[in-house]
Amino acid sequence: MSGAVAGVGRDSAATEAARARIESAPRTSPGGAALLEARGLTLSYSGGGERHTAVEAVDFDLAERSFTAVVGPSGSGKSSLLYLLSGLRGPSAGSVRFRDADYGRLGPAGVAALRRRHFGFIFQQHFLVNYLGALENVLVGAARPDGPARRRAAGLLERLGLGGKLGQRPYQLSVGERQRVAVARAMASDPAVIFADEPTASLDQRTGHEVISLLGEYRDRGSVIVVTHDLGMTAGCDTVLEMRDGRLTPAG
Amino acid sequence: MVTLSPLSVLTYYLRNKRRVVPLLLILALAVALMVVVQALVSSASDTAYAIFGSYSKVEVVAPRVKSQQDAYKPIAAALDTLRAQQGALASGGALPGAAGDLAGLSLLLADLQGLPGRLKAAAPSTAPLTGRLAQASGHGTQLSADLTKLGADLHQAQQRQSEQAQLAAALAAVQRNPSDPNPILDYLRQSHDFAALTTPDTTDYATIEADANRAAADSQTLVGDLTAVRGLVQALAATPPPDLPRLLPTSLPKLPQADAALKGLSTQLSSLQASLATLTQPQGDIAAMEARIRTIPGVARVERDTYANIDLNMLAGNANFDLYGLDAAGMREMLALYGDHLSAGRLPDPARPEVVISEAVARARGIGIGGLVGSDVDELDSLPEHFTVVGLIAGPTRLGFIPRQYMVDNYFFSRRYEALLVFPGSAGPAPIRAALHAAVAKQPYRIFDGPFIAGKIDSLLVNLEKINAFLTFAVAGTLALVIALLNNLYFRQRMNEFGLLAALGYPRRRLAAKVATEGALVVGAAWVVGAALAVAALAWFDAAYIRPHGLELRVFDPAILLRATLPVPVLVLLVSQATLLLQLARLDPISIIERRD
Repeated sequence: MSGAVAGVGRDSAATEAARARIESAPRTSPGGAALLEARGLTLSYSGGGERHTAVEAVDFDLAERSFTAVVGPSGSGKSSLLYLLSGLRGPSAGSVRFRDADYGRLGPAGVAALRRRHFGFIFQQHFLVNYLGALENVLVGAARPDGPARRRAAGLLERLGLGGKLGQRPYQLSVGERQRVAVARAMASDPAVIFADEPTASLDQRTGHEVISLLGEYRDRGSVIVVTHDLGMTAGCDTVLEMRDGRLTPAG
Repeated sequence: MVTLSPLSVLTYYLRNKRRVVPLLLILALAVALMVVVQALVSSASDTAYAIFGSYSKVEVVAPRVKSQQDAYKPIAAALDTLRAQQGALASGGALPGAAGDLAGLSLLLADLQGLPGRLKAAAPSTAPLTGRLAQASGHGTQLSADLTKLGADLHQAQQRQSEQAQLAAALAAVQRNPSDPNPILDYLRQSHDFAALTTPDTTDYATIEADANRAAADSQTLVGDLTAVRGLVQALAATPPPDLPRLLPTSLPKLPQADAALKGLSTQLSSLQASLATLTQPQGDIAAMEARIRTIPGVARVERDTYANIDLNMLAGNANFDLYGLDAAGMREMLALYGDHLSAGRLPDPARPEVVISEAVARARGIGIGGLVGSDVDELDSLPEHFTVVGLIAGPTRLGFIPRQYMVDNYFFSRRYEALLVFPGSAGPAPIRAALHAAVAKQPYRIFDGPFIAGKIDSLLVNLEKINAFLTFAVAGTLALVIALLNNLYFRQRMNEFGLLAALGYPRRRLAAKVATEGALVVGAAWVVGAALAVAALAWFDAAYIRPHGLELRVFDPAILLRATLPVPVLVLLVSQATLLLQLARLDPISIIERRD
């Protein structure tokens, strides 16, 4: 039945074109160009009769196979930055490029295709589909739920200590186990970038460290951006940036 | 082992049976209900068309009359005339008697009846003459008896004297020749009353004398009687005759008026008789109408038809099943025209109250051969009294026949009013309809044929169709709203799933297609299950009720299935999909991701 699912793995011609540009771009830009590049990234919005700026004129470069942490207090704009970098939200100003592909030019469908094929996501909550088993939930993150993807997903879960729980539904797993399934889902398509938004917020410290450790290990295959308010989770990161009042600075 | 894609529709269905199955069942039941209702509405139409199927290939020209109103007019006119004459007689005063002419007529008749009595009383009495004649007759009889007795006495005396003479001759012979006893022996050999030989002749003479005296006395009496009779006759002849005019009725002068009154009454009675005779005659112009129709090109044959009908119950209401009153040849022609045949029994006897009907009609009435139909059995039957079913008809068209001859011979309305059954030629009835309508024009006839019957049936069923259409769309609309509401509830419960998929980069149109496919397949499955349920329910209903009651039902009719099943799925799909797709279009993955619940 693989491939029979509506909405999985088949995009429009425009998206295909965008995908082709991205695929053909060099994995590492000549002259040390970044994998993900943001310039003058700004996100502002109106609320309560006032203008708020969540992200203000942020410049950001993400290198290949790097592990970057963005820290900052709650409400500092770090999650908003993550949404802008991943294309989940469009900026009020500025631009984001992934392998020379500008999000603004790709359009919503193109950016969605980008996320689908090259990005992985881990959120504060696991967001597992409650009627699917652990393995199936991992396959939701795969580009195509075919045999190789299934074997890869099973291997990931095995590595995450859930080899005996491939068919377990989310409500049959502990909170930590659910988050590990979410980590596996983020890695299922072997993405170029994994965006992790407070991935340890709902976990105990030990489990949180386990997750961060897993993400650190992903540097072998891609880059990871972790947004967290817990500085304790930044150990092992290549780069730690601090977000404060919408502005990004190197962490002190 | 087949591995399902985690986001496949089938995976969703299998993992969410408690959500999907109730929806599917509700929709399936609704679809089935729609089909059943539509099939039953169609059944009413089909049954009506089947009941009147016999009008599809013939034209029936029937008198525009109903038995009650037609019979009432001439009878009422004749009775009015009679009542007027009766009134004139009752209050006229032309005849003697205070109470009017009828009473006077009665007195006159009584007067005339008394005339012989009065005449007898006024005439002289013949009783003395009659008495004297009777007396003379008695005395004559007595004299006759006396003379008879006297004759017998004389004969006996002569006989005795002869025997005495023979004995004396024998004794003289013996005395002359004593040696010869033969004379005496010959005398003794004969039969003699020897006692009489010893009886003295004086006895005979005394008897003869007494009888002669009695006869003479009686003769004298008779002479006296006859003398008296003569006197009485002369006296009667001398009496004058009675005064006849005095004896005649005093009302005799009124006799001419009575005669006139009676003639008037007689005339009115004759008029009434003529009116009643007219009622029993066939409708006056039917022969001309029949002749005119025969001249229409395309008419193959025209038969007289003494029609009647019997009542049949339908699913809703009832209908009249028309019986054709034909002769045997006409019945056979109808059977051949419609491709029907006798499946059991025989055609009706022309002289008996018998009927043949289609098997379906017999089932509808719950009877078979030997069963009875007619107003004695069902008051809604126009067929009078009761007729015995002697044959059953099988074939594509429902037919029923009664013997024309029996109807004409026994029933007033059938004798007076017959329809004309027009058999068209090979071109069918359509080409002759215009000419037939022109022939009937304003004559007191009307034409029953396929288009007329179809129009009637359609007009009767139009309200049923409207109600059905209203119910269909009311149910479909309600269901569409309910299902849309449920789908929206389910969709809200899946917001995390769709928010995640959108965040992961699944295109909106793919998510929309997923939602649409999930809904469409549930609706499609419900459509199939509902149609199957409906066909099964209709098949059972057909076997259990419809066929046994002679009704028609299309158990599997693709047209009905499509017409009846589509509104619910289509409306449900449209409303559900529209609302779901709207929600999907408004879906903001970030708001879902940031939700802290």
